Amino acid sequence: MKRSAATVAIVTARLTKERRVLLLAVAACALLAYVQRYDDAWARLAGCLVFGTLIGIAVALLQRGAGRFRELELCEQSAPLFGRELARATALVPCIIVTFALTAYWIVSAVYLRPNAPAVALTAVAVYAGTLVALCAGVRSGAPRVLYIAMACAVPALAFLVAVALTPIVSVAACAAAAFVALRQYGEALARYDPI
Amino acid sequence: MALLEMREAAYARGARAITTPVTLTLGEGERLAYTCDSETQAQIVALMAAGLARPASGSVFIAAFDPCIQPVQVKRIVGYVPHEAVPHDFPSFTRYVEFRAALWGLPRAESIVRARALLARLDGVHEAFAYPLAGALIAQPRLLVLDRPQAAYAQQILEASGSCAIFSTHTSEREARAFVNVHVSA
Repeated sequence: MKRSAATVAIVTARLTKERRVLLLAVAACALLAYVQRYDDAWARLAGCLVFGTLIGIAVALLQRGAGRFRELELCEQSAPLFGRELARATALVPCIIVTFALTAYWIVSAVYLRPNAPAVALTAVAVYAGTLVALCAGVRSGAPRVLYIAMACAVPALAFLVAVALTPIVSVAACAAAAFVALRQYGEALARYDPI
Repeated sequence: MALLEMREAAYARGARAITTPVTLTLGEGERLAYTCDSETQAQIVALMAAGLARPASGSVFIAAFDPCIQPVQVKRIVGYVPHEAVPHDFPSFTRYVEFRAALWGLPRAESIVRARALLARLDGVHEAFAYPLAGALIAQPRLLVLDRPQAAYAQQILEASGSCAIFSTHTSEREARAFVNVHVSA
């Protein structure tokens, strides 16, 4: 009960501050769905993956280190919470924003073409994985930060290639594994996080 | 047993030393005002004393817990009040207290009542400092760490803090003396 209350409090506080970003992400994804072509399913999937991942990376990087949440971060850091609890709560925020953005994309695209369930699942899981990897970049600086951002970009790209070469199911499973590892990494990084 | 013990604790970024080594001991219910050379040093020493920043050399123990190994136990003991104003992220004081109560696992209604009573005792203190202080005190910490509190509010801060030990950092001797020499009425 206590842990879930802390998670809800952190997510609510951060989402309230991010509501403009949320609206912008939703509008951008809806616009992409409106202007993109519908005659090539793979091109459509790639476009959604690229756009969703870019939004996920941007929102993930805004969560830490940009000074926007400085006071909130200090308050969270001084609370008696384990790194993994803090990581789960913080990771939920960009994932929720990305979910809304992707939902807007698929709702608008459904007007033109019936959505393909494996493609929707692959987009969601690959973008979550990219976003969670990008969160790890937020708690690092210098070369490791650049490396994590590059990995965040690579995850959906690899997911797309695997889906083309094999099947979307394999790609979804691989992305879920990558997301789990990234979340664990983020929790450990937060436990050692230096607010200075 | 000392509530706060810093042994040659120094902070560094790579090879560059940012603070000089700090050695001090603070017991239960005691007050200690520590003067630093700069605002950066004062902030970092306060963060180390609260167990939020790890010293590059030396050690910090809070109620015999090592913040690097047992951070959650340490954070249950310490209340940290930063120099910057906190509640700008929240629409009201009640929302801020609810947020803190949720993070510390405290009963919501009881925390709001307690925070309002604390705020009443901090009459005259600017809300930018009174809100985070009341927020830190609702968890009834044994050790209160204040980062550069204003000397003008020393009397109200010490009265509101009750019997908990207080460690504060300052950038001038005059401000530090103001916190040590204040007589707190029972």
